[in-house]
Amino acid sequence: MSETGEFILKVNGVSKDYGHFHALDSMSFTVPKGSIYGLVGRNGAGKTTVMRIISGLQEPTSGKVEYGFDHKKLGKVGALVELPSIYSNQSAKENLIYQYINLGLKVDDSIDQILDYVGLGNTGAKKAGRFSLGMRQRLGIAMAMCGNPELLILDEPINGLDPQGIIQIRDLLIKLNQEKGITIIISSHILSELSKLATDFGFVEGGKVVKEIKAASLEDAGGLESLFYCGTPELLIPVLNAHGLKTTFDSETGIIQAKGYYNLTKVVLAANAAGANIARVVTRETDLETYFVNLVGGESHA
Amino acid sequence: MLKLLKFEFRRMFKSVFFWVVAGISFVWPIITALFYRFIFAFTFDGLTIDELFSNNEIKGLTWTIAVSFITTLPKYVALFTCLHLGRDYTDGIIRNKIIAGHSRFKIYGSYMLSQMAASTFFSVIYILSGLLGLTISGIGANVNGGEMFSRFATAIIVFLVMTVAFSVISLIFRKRALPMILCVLIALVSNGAGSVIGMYNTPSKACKDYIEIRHERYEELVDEGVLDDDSVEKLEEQFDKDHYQGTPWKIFHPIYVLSPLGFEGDYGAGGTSFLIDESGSYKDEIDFSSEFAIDGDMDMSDLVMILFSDDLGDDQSHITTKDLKHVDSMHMPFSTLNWIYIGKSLIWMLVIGGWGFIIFRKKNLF
Repeated sequence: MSETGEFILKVNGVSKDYGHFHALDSMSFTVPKGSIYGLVGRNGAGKTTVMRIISGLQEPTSGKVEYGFDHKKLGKVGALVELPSIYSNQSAKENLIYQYINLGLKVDDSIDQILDYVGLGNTGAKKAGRFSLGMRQRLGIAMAMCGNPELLILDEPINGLDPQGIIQIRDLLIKLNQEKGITIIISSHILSELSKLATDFGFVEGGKVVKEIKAASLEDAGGLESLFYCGTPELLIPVLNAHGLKTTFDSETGIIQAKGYYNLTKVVLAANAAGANIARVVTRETDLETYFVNLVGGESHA
Repeated sequence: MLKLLKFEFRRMFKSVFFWVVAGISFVWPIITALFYRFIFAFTFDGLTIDELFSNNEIKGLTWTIAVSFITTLPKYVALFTCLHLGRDYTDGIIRNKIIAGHSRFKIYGSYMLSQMAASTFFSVIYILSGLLGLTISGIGANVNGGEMFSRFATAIIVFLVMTVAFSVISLIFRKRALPMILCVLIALVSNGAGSVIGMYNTPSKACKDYIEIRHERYEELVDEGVLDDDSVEKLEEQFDKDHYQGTPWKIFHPIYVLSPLGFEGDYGAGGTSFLIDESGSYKDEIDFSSEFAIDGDMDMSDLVMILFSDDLGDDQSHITTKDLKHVDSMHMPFSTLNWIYIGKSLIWMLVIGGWGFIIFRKKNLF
């Protein structure tokens, strides 16, 4: 949920069967309004299937999807599921004109604004078929943006992109979310990128969402963990707390466990000033990938 | 739906292939008309148009050249439909429409209506171009006081059945090559089938009436001493219903009745090639009696030759088409036939289109 408790989408016990194969098994999750919701899961876990169902491309076998807005109004859901759906023999602008007509929008200057917004304003008459993959993805996002959607569904939007392309798409999505208030559901295999982007996560395994967590909570649950070996814990703990770290003290081992990120130099100088003696520091960082592996077990194939 | 139609029409008008087919529709009938003018001018050097063609023959020529879109255009329309609709699959545009919030029914309907509109457009261009071609060739066009336009409208509606079939095939197969092959095959096969099936248009009632009338004629011939009872019995056994309406009729006549495939045969719309053999003619009705009787319009020398030959006079009744002029079952006005073909075509469009929608509704579109 958002801070106000509003949701943009609720997936309630959705199942999808292909013959005997259960692609989704009573999947449930809630996407808060204004969030960037990252779907994390292995190949075949059911991410794409649920995205297809949310975007209306498929019907669930059972269960239902509840929208927190009038999703039947044309253009209120934008999606880029797998490959961008664009006319390869038309220019970027012509593709957007088609999308405007598709949505019943008046064809006006806002098309150029959208093209500028996604960084395709200077492509002129160049056919979309001759675009790089990153340009095609951005055009796909531009198409999905038409009509000011409430919800944008993006399945692997940075797949196959070079680092520059990944950064452009990431910046674009953050801009869309923060400036236009569009809620985004995104899946990606590149978990390091997803962790830089998403405000909420849903971990998908075996056709179910096995865990939902906010990015902030993920940092709490994982993040940077430091073990301070110190002979004077009573002096060091207030210093660590003063630097925003959450601490626990194991009296048996004499080790202080601190969670959170900090500037090591500042902490060491402050500890020295406080008269605390730090013998050794061991750090361990739990990122999204580690969290995912710990959660579902086995190797990460997200 | 209007948004989707606007979308489709914009795409259509920007399609190169659309304008190629429109160009063929415009140029081909003009070339055909000029070709006939050239052939006749070359063959009958020195004769004027009035001397070459009767008014009825000009009507026949007008009809044949203008309506031949029904045999010329299907293969091009098949290719256009497959290429045009196939792109929406390959580029994933159907997905965009669904995600945008359009129902599958509206998407399907917009494809059907836009393709039907395109076919109508091509047909109208072809017809008008045929009339233009005949006019500029000097032969002149005669549309029978405008009555011919109702037959053109019927022909267009019959043609739309094929368009619906092409659209359905394009929408139920994701790959582009297979629908193209299938649709072109359908276009070519239906041309051939159309001319064959049209030959089996004779109603069963006409055959029954003819046999009864011929029996009465035999009785007169027995009274006149021309035939005896034994030969009549043999003739009636030989020329029974199965002689006229045997196995091929039993196979093809139901197809003729149920489908609009007999249009070419009934309306003489099977292309312009037959004009090389004979001048066009334009009739008010189909005369089924020609299936059974000798042509009553023949001159006496021809008639005598046929009566004493082993061909049409085989059954010895010597009944002519004129004798059957007032037998209702032997005639069907084209004004009635127009409605029959319109009705059959609309039903087939609904059946084919409905079947296509059932598949499209559940089709995996990603």
